[in-house]
Amino acid sequence: MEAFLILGGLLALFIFRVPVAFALGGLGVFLLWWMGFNLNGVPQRLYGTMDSFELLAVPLFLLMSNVLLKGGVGKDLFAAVQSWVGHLPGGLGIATILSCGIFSAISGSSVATAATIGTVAMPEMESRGYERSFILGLLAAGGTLGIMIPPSIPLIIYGVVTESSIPTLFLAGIGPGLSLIAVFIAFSIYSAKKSDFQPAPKATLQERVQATVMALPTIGLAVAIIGSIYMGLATPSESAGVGFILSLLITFVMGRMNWRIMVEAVEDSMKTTIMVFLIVAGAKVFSYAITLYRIPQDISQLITENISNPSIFILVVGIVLLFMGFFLESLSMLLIMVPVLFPSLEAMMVDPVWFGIFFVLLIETALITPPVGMNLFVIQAVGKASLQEVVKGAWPFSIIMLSMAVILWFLPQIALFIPYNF
Amino acid sequence: MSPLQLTFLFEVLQFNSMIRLIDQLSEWTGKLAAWMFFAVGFFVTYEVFMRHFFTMPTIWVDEVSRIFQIWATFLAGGFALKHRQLIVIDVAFRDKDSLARKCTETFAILVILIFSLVVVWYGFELWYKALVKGHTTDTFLAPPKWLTHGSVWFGFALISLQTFVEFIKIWRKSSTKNNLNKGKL
Repeated sequence: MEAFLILGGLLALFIFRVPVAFALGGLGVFLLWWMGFNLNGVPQRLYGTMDSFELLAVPLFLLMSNVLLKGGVGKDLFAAVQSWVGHLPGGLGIATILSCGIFSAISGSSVATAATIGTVAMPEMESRGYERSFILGLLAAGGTLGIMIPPSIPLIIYGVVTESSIPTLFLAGIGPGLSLIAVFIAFSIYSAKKSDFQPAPKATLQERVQATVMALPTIGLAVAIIGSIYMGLATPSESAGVGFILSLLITFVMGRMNWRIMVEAVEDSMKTTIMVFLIVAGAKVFSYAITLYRIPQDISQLITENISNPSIFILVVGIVLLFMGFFLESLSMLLIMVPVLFPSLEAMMVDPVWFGIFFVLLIETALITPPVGMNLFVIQAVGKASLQEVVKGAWPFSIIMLSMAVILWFLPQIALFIPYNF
Repeated sequence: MSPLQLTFLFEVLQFNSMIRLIDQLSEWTGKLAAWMFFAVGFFVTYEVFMRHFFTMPTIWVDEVSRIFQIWATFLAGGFALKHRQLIVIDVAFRDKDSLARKCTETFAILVILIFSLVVVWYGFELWYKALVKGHTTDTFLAPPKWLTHGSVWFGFALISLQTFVEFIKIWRKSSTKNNLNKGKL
C-alpha cells in the first residue's frame, strides 16, 4: 500500500510539472521527515553520489559528442557510409542506420545521434523519394542505438546505481546493438522495395576513398574508445577524457573548430550533464528514503512469494516498464525502477548485466513511443513534421525493438556472449 | 514626484537589480562549472598519458577530478533552473499562459525551494562539522573535507536564490518562457 501511495505521490508531482530531479529529492525528504528519520543523510547522499570517478564518463562523453557534433562530423560520416551502400535497394536507409550505429559508438546519447544524423540524412532521403513518415521513423529509431551501443550514458548510470562493472555492461551492449542494426537494415530494405524511391548513383572508387578518408578520424575514434575499454587500457571515464581531447584535436586539425564553437560545445555539454546529474542526485535521496521504508525489500518479497518463474517476472517487469515508458522519460524510469527491482534479480536468478541490457532496450523503445518519447520530439523538430507523422513511421520500429527484447530473453547470449567469453 | 513615489521607485529599482544580480550569479557559476568539466577532460588525459608512456601515475587526478565534478554539479544548479534545463514531464498544464500553469509552476518552484533549503540547512551543518573538527579525506592528497562538503550547501543556496527570481518571473511575465527539456538521453 505504502509503495502505491509513494508512486502516486511521485506521479502527482510529475503531473504538477515539478522537475524530475526535485520531485524525486523532494519526495525523498518528505518521506524521511514523515517517519521521523534524521535529514542529515540528505546532503551526504547528494555529495556521495557525485563523488564518483565512474560518473565522470558522463560529462566527458557528452563533451566529446558535442565537440564532434559542432565540428560537423555527422556529415562526413553519412557521406562515407552512403558512398558504399547508397546505391543498394534501401541504400540511404542502410546508410542512415549504419551512420547512427557508428555515431552511437562515440556519443552515448540518443538525442545527439538522432539530431546529428537526422540533419544530414533527412534532406538526402527526401530528395530520393523515400516516404516521409518512414524517414522520420527510421531516424527516431536509429537515434535510439545511441544508448545501446557503447559508450552508453544510461548504462554508465545503471552501472553506478547497481555497482555493476561498466566495461562489462558496455561489452554486453554490443551484441544487441549490432542485432538491432541488422534488423533495422533488413526492415529498411523491405520498406524501400515497397516504395518508389530512386536509388542514389553508385559512387566511384575515388569518391568512396575520398569520403572514407574524411570520416576515418571519427571511425578511428570510435574504435579507439571501445578498444581501449575492451583491452583494459583505460576505464570508461579515462577513455572518455582521451576521446574528448582527441575530438578537439581532430576538429581543430580539420579546421572546423574555433573558440566560439568550442565555447558552445562546452556549455551545451554542461547543460545536459547537469540535467542528468541533478536527477541522479535526486534519485539517490529518493532511493535512500524508500530503502529506509523497506519498499524495495517488500516488493522483492512480494515478487518472490507470488512469482516463482523468472519468465513471468521478466514479462511483468517488461509490461510495467512499457507502461511507464508512455509517461516517463528514460533516465527517470531507470533511476526510479532499478533500485526497486534490483534486489529481486538475485532471487529470480536473473543476471544483472543481462537485466541492464534488457532495461536499456525497453528504455530505447520508450524513446519512440508517444506521448513522452524524446526521440520523437527531436525528429519532429529536425524534420519540421507533426508528431503524428513521426509516430506513424516509428511504430514498426517499436514492434521490432519489443521483439528484440523477447528474443533477448530466449537468447541471453546475444548480450552475454561477448562480456563472458572474451 | 512625491517622496513616497520616489521611495517606491527606488525600491523597485533595487529589487530589479537584485534579480539581475542573482541571474548573473547563476549565469557565471554555470559557465564556471562548464569549464571545470572541460578541465577534468585534460586532467584525465594527462593521467592516462603519464601512466602509459612514463609509468608514472599521478596521485592527484582521481581526487581533483572528483572534487571538480562535485563542485561543478552543484554550482550549476542555479544556472540549470534559470535556463529551465531541468527535465519536466510535459503531460498536463501545457498552456503556457493559463493561470493553472502559473499556479503549477509556482508549486514546482516551492518544492524546489523547500528541498534546497533542507539541503542548505543540513549541508551547512555537515560542512561546519568538517571545518571545526579539521576532517580530511582518507587519500594521499588528504584535502580538508570542508573544501568538498562546502559545494553542497553553497550550490543549493544558489538554487534557493534562483527560485525567488523564477517565482517573480512566473508572475511578472504575461507569458511564461518555456524551453523545458523533456529528457535528453
